[in-house]
Amino acid sequence: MTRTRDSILAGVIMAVTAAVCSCCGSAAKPHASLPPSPANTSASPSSGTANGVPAEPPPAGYRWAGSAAQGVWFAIPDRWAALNLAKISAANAISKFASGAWAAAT
Amino acid sequence: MGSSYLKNVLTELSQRHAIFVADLASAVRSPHQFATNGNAFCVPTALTPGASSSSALKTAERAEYAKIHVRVLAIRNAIIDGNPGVKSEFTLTSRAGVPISDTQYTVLTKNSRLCYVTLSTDNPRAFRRTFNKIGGTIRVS
Repeated sequence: MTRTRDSILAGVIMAVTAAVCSCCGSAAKPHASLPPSPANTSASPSSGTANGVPAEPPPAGYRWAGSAAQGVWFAIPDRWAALNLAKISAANAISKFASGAWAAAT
Repeated sequence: MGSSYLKNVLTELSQRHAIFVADLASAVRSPHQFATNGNAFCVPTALTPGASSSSALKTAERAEYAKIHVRVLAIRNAIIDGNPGVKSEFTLTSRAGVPISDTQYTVLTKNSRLCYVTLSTDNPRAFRRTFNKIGGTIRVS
């Protein structure tokens, strides 16, 4: 692993850590303490997915990243790499990242 | 930065079956060698979508951000793929001293799950449009 690769790795780690911490807290709090909403009618139907996969094409220069199992998708620029961590172990993810093979591991 | 730490972080994301994305090329341009990145996952919640759900989410998130000592720039109600949600923007400083800007979208789905899409960069000016565009494409089922 080169010095540059180490630095890149460190940057990603920090960002993920921050995101995970904030997400975990945010996820737990509503579950524990928020009262249910009185109405269940305000959200219009989600029409952006068909069988859990976006039916429409992503914007030009973008591609879909996401998971039908999770039920969440979003478009990312073509040049970005994506990993589905439901399908790859943490050890394999590290290995792919360290070897530079990650970009192809979508 | 040990590999065990990285493994722990990725294991935590793996346990949530998260999607992890990154612009590896951005690290080359970054003075901190920071790769702009993001992740997404969903968790069950007792909440159901309703007129007050966005406000409740916003209140809860503000409290959680206070706990982890981030600087909140904005928390706004948002409709995301037809569902109530919240768009949050905040900054923090990494352990390495790198200032990070985060944009986090939280969506309350019709089947009572909370889905999180979190985007992180050390160059918010360059990635603002990209983050907004990504946010506009979030789809949940």
